[in-house]
Amino acid sequence: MSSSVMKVVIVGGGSAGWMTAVALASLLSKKQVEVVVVESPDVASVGVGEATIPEIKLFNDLVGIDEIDFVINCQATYKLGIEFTNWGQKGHSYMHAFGSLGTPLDNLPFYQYWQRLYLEEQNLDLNDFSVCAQAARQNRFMPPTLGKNTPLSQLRYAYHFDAGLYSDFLKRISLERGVSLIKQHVVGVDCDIQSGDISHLRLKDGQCVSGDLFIDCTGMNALLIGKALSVKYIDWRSLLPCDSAVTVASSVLSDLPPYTRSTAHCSGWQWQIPLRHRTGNGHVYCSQFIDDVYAQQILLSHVEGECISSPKLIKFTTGRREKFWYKNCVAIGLSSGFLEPLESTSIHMIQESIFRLLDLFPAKDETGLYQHRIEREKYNQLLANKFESIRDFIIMHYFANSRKDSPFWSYCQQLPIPESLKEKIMLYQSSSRIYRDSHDLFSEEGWISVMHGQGIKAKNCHPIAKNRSISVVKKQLLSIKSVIDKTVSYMPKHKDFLQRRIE
Amino acid sequence: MKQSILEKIVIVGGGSAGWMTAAALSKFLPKDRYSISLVESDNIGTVGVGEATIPHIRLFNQILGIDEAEFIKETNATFKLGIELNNWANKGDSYFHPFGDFGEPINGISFHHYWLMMQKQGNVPPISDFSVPVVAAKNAKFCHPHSNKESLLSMYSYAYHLDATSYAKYLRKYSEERGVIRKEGVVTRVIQNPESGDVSHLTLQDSSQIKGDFFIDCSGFIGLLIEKTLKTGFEDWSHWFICDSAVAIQSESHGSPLPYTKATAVSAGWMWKIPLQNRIGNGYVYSRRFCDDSTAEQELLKQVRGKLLSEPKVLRFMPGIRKKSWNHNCVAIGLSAGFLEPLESTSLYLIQVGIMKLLEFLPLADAQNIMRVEYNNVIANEYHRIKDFLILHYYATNRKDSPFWRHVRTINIPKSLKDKILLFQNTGYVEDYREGLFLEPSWLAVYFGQGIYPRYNSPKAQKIDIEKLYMFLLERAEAIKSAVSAMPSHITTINNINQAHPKIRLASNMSMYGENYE
Repeated sequence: MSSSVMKVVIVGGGSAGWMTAVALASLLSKKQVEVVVVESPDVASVGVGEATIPEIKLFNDLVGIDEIDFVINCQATYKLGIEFTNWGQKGHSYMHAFGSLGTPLDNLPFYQYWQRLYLEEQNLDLNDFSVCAQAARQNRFMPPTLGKNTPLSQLRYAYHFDAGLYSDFLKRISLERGVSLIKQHVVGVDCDIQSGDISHLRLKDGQCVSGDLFIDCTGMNALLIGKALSVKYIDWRSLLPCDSAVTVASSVLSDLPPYTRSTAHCSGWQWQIPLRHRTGNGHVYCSQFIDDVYAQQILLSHVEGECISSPKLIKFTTGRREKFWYKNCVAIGLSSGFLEPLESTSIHMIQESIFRLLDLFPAKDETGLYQHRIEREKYNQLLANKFESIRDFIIMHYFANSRKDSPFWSYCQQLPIPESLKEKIMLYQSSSRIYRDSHDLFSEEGWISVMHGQGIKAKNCHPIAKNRSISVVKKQLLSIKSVIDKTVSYMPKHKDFLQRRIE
Repeated sequence: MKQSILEKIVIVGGGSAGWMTAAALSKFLPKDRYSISLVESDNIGTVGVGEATIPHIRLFNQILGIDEAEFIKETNATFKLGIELNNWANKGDSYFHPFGDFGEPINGISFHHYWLMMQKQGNVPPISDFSVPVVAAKNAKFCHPHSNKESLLSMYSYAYHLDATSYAKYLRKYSEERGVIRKEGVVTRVIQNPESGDVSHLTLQDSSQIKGDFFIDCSGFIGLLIEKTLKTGFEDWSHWFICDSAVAIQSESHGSPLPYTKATAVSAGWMWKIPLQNRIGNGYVYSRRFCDDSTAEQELLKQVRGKLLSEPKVLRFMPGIRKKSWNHNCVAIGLSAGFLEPLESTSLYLIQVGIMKLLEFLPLADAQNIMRVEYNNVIANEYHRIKDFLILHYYATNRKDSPFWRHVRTINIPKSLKDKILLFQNTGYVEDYREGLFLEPSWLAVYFGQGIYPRYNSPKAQKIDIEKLYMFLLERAEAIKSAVSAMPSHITTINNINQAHPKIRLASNMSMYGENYE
């Protein structure tokens, strides 16, 4: 290779492939990087990940996607959080909402004061102090306002969208921005004998595609990273036992709730994702405890409205690739790992992979790609940390349950949990504190919402929170709540807001 | 719980560490449940280094509710916009490590990638021209950063040069007003509980006893509790830091105080110059393997202008970190927890972090082991982060002009630092982390200042319209120049504060680089 233009070959379309393509084409110069996507005409994408977290806005902004265009093209709705029902115990429900909880006092996070009062009066709802949770419960939505320290300025949101339409949308933009598309099935991957790098792909029509850097977006098949390069997969099913999902689309929900629903069933949980043209539903379950037929029955009996597609079964192995960047191949999307969509992190992991790849993007000089060992090491370490921190957060939902009504939930209570998570829980129990490290995706408020929501109880609040008398704390909390209540009552209904936006 | 039982906290040692700890605890701990006492002896001098700080100290003062104008007056403080580092990579070199970044990201990509690309084509101003605090510092200007985020003058943070002894005195008054009991005396014995091994009480010279539930060791290098008693152990870092001594002397100010610290590399170490309102602190950090005490003193005196105000004071130290900052019912804060040379003014910061972290773990007496583990991890991480950054200053040099510098070249640097440098050379990437010091702007300052550059242009920067970028860079540098020229001089700002006593209400945070930096 004598050209100084680096050729990046992305194998596989779908969300991972096209998000990568659009990002590389939008952020890197054509003088340096040529982007080719090889998309098979006969492989369908999984198309999960229809619910997202607020970081997705960062991605769209960075590649220069207009929000309205995006909402229209992808049938998107706004999302303020996730409602978890029957998780900690049957009949119980809580919200993991985005954005902040209350406002800090005396340099102490708000939840410490909340905890102080909660220890005295158990009937205190944490969600009352989140503008996102309150708005979600009333089906209201508007974007955050400018300024500081008002509840509305603290609002954070993400989207629900049709992942298939999102790929199509990004594909159009990518092609406009100079990405070339080869619509062919890959039949072989050839490696350089000396370096072990991938040298070229062989396509069904006999064509060969060479490249400097290959991005494996082939989903669970992991055609490059797994099949060709034999990078092992670390199986996490002993930590997260669910291994199957059955999905179905249903009719549009009339009030278009601005949040995802996650409802625990006897051996798994069901999602409900409201879009503008349909509603996504899926039942994630553990096949050790329930068979596919019964799982489908449970799904269908809990779908709100009419089903408008036939149920689709997905089998998966929770885990991650041992290395995400190996030789000259980077795995992005499901080829890099799988975590169930309980906290809507699939699209986010794609985004995270792309951003880190851009940060560490290998340069090329006249002699070809130089040795990028150090970039690979850093990339693999950063991504592994990210996967593991999300994994731990998901495990906590399963582990911290007090359900006694099914063998699955009892089994989850007994599961061995990672040491780091154990420490986090103990720390919260002893002093209501959250310890977050660098790679933790979720905020302190997120951890508190879920820990408390799942029924983990703190024995004590921070002593500094005790400097104020209980009556003063109560007065402050009530005043925060009343400001939030007032604010939310002024917000438009989500449905109306969306309608106005897309007109 | 133990709501009604009084928890007795005993701080051993005054000085900056002791009184900063006492002040923070007295501010935040409910008096009905805690008693705080501090034992110190007028006969034991304090080291009193750490006269230069980093911006985090402002947050510490703010949470204590200390009025800035009063603080400036009481501690003879001046403002600090960064450090000027001279002669580090080569004799005659000079660069700044400022409290601010070098420009905001463009299209989500760090500013320096663009600057690097343009710099290779020639004809762009040096990176320091894009830093408001550098341009201000060079012109001896200072005003408080603007709160309007659109203003160029919001793009920096600041710290202080202060008289550490006055600061300790000030905090002593603060603490005593809030109920801290000061006990004069020398600790002669530390008695442990025979079963648990915890510290149970201290015996003073006059044979009085002080009992405590929890002890904070601020006794300095000696580590009276943490080491002498609890035998915690010390991780020696002298294979990375060969300097083991410093000689310090105060001199009369000449001219107006500069709004920055100077750190100048010399034949067997480096010299600091810290301008206060009423005097200048001077010091030479050196290695006795390459320079004896009297030579060091002579070298230092040669560099000092103005009348001497004190006798030269020699300090010995061992770079490294206590194996556990928190062991049993005792936490070491300050020099008892570890020592790193003051090249980046981190001494008071490390005290502050120790205190703030400790406050999170109350009540201390029934702390669980998991808390100790977390505390120790957090503190060790802080020291390690700073350690790598300091070693970089010695590593990235071409100096061969003295045995000291020829030896420094042979030091085997930690792998973590080696990897950081290689990564930067390959991609221009500086890893971002949430906890611990020195993020991208600081690493860039030292990398560029000491001649470490990425080997390739980042492909990320190339998308931009070169003409427009070029104009933007020229304009930005001009705009900074003109904004700075409108700033008052450093001394004017200090005089105003001393005369008018304005209420300064400026938000501060745990960042080196100001509010705008994300």
